Amino acid sequence: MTADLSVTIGAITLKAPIMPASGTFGLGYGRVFDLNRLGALVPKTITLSPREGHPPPRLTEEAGGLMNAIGIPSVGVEAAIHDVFSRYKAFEPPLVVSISGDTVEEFGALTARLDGVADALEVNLSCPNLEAGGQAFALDPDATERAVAACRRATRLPLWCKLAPHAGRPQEVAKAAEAAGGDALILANTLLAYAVDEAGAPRLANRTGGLSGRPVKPVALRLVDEAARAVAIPLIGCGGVFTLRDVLDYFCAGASAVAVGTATFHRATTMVGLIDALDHHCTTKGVAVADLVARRPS
Amino acid sequence: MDHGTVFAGTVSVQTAAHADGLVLLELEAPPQFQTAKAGQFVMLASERADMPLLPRPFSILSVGTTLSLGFAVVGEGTRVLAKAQAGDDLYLMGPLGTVYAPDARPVLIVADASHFGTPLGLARALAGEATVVFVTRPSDQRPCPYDDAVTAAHQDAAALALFAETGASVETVALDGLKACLEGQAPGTVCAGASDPVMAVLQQVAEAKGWPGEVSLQAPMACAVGACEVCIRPTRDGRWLKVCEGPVVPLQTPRFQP
Repeated sequence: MTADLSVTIGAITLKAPIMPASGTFGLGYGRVFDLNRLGALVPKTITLSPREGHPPPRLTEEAGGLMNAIGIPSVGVEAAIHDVFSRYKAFEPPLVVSISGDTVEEFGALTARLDGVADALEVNLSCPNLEAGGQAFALDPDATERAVAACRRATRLPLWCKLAPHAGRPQEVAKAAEAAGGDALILANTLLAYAVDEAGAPRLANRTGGLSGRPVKPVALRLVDEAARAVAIPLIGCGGVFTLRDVLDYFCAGASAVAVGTATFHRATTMVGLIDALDHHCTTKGVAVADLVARRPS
Repeated sequence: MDHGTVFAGTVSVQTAAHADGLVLLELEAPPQFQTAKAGQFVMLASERADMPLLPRPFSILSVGTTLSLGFAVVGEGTRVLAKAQAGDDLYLMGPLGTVYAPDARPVLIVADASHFGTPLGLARALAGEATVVFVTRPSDQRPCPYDDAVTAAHQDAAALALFAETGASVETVALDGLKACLEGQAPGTVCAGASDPVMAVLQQVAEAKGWPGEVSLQAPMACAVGACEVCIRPTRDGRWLKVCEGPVVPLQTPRFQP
């Protein structure tokens, strides 16, 4: 017997509440496990034009987690549509395309181009806003609202807005994303961090990078808790999801699903392992996943 | 997509031998390894609490009823993995990657102790039908940051013995003598896996002589399946290669730091 693991994120029903975090997933994992078991497929973030990303070293192990400065290498939206996303369409889970723009206009243009290509868009609002001195969109409610509104005007696709963990007013940013037409929030992206080697030099070529994994889970969990009391749209927890306990913690805080990234690098089958564990948990308890998703009253 | 062609799970250590900063492991071989080839790679991790977060990539030395892996202890991950003993469980993901495909004889293998796995896998597969140029390091160099007692001379001697066991003709040379040594060779194909300064010299000589060849690259890895773009190396024409999509690539493609 298997439990009902399905959850609804706005207009989309996921067969399981476990999906990859953007930047950590590719079809290569299809040689390791059945991709059709996942709640959604989320390829690497794409940009309007091709870009190379940062030079190596791009990754370091820090504080029990990972720090990365990959720099969003991208083949550009046209090549992605023709060469990448078409291959994802062979699989059952919804395709969630993650997008990043340097300007509000770019977000709008990307979204318009992807209308009809993806099942939903992840709007990566942690990228630098070149119209605001490089400050991430998601650090500011107004910039968040403008970027999401530009996407909303360009499509009727569901917009899942990925927020930054170091915003000073996270509830205001969450409200801005919702008000501008966001259909769900992903909480959160990596935490900006810095690490040095024995000689005092930066470990990453980009100097700073995004911290992920177990160290950021309490931070992301706090953001889910705060957003759950600020907005009505569904929440997707992202940060340090390694075990069933982590998944259940995010459900308790108000998330309807979780995204898994660093844990997949640790053990490639983590996501399907979590789905199996959740199935066993629900079957044992005689509940559906939807029963575990306990959104707190606002 | 043929899911399940790459194994990811726990296997038991059949034998473990440690000497002079080198480790040789024989592991239980899951069914996915029946068609694996020496020179492909695996991701390996200890289940010990002190293992770093990420599994480490290692070349397959040979595969049969067991899976043979070997590595030099060079950092925190290999230090922890060197503690593995017979009966221990290790996390294994593989087989992954491409192998050398030398299409002309004689085969010249260029290697050093920093990166001996892929070339040694080829030397074993060729069962003596190869010449190995093994590049030694300054003897007092300390390649193992966690064990000052291990010198480069120790590791080099241990790796050299593994190549000698294959029956290949083995020549040793220091880096400053490599160019002259290579210029005395007449290979049909070159297959190499070594540190950047060695590769840079080889690339220069091979280009001048018009030798075809392949190199096996190394880089820190995270996903090992082409998803994360962590394991990149520069090419001579200004692009980036994902090492996990090799690691064997044409000799003249990468850009090496002399």
